[in-house]
Amino acid sequence: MKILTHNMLMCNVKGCDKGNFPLRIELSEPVSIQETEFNEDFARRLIGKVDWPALAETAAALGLYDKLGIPELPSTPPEAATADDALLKAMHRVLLEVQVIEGKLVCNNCGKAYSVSKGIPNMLLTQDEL
Amino acid sequence: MSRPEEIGPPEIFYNETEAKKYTTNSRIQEIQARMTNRALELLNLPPDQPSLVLDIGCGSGLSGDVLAENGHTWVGIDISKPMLEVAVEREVDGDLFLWDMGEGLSFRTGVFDGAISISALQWLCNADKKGHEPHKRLRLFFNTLYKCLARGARAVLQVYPNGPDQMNMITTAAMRCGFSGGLVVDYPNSTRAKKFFLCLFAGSATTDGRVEMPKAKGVDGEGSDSDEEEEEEEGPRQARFENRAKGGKSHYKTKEGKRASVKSRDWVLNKKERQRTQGKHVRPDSKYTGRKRQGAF
Repeated sequence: MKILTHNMLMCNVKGCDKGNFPLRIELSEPVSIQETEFNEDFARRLIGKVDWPALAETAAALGLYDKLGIPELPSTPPEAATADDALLKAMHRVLLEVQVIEGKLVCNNCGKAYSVSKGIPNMLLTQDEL
Repeated sequence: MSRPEEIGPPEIFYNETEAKKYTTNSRIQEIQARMTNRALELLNLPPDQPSLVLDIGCGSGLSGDVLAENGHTWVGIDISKPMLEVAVEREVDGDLFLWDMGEGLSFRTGVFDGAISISALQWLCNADKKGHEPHKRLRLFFNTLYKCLARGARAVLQVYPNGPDQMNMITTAAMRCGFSGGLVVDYPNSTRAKKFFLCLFAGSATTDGRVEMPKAKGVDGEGSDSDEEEEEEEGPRQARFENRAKGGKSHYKTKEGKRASVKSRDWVLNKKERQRTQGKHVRPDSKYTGRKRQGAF
């Protein structure tokens, strides 16, 4: 699972609608980094879609700044028009190149843990969570 | 050949052997790719703009490959683990989730530029487990789908309904959740090439709130195999529907807007016409139609 998708994912348990984002990532295996092609247009469009406080929090929690050797991302949304190349590249690397392979996603509100195996989070709910 | 929907629930039907079979079958690959291309065409994403697309029921990522070829980033959800594992083996570009779409999609509001689904939605109409209510699951699915789509975004869902009732159930559920749009039927006159595409619009990007329905293919008795050509003339095959909540269609009314007296001549003619279109046996209209019987002696 990429950090981009993590940045859009909320807890799906019924009635869990406050504080259900972002899900806390607990790794049981270090993240894998796969280089992908940088697309400036797409990165610029993502500025408006990303939840910046959550992104900064996740990147810091996973220690991605040191791992990737990139400057820290702001926790407030930058201006899409004036964003410079360095910021867009850093964004691209965090959002699209980092993959969570094994671990779990834990909801900070209700405590539900979604396991991640082979990079696929299991989002299925049980009967009483619907 | 019986329909897979009648054999078992999707997470059980698409087991490891079935998932492998499905993905390596060149005929299925070709059909999937063709349907995805068509769905993408109906999705009408802005040209040359890389978009974020949700693939509902992505399976082993056959449809996702087409999305990636077109330069889009995709996120796929599916309920069959073996299918997703095949997708991982094939090293698809998209992000995968093991997810039951009937449990709702919990993505943040307005993140996706579009959504597609190829041959998946009809599974929602089955009650495979205790406590599954197809109506509820459809409503939850469409409600949450509406939320995670950006304003003006479209969802194109290709379905294999097992009959008009099922199709009606799906469209009604979508309409109740605020979607506008309708059904596009490609090659309506062919049994094999006939394809149903449910095109849904989440709000509209234009100011006047009107959206042009896409045209169906192969409407004018055109052969099913020459599907490269687009038929431009007329599109009478599109069943349009509007959001019913905005202004419910009123009861049968007279010109003055008053409610017509029950079983007036107009009412009777109207009903006979309706039954004729349904193919029922109806007596011809005459000057006596809708007249009261004379009283008994």
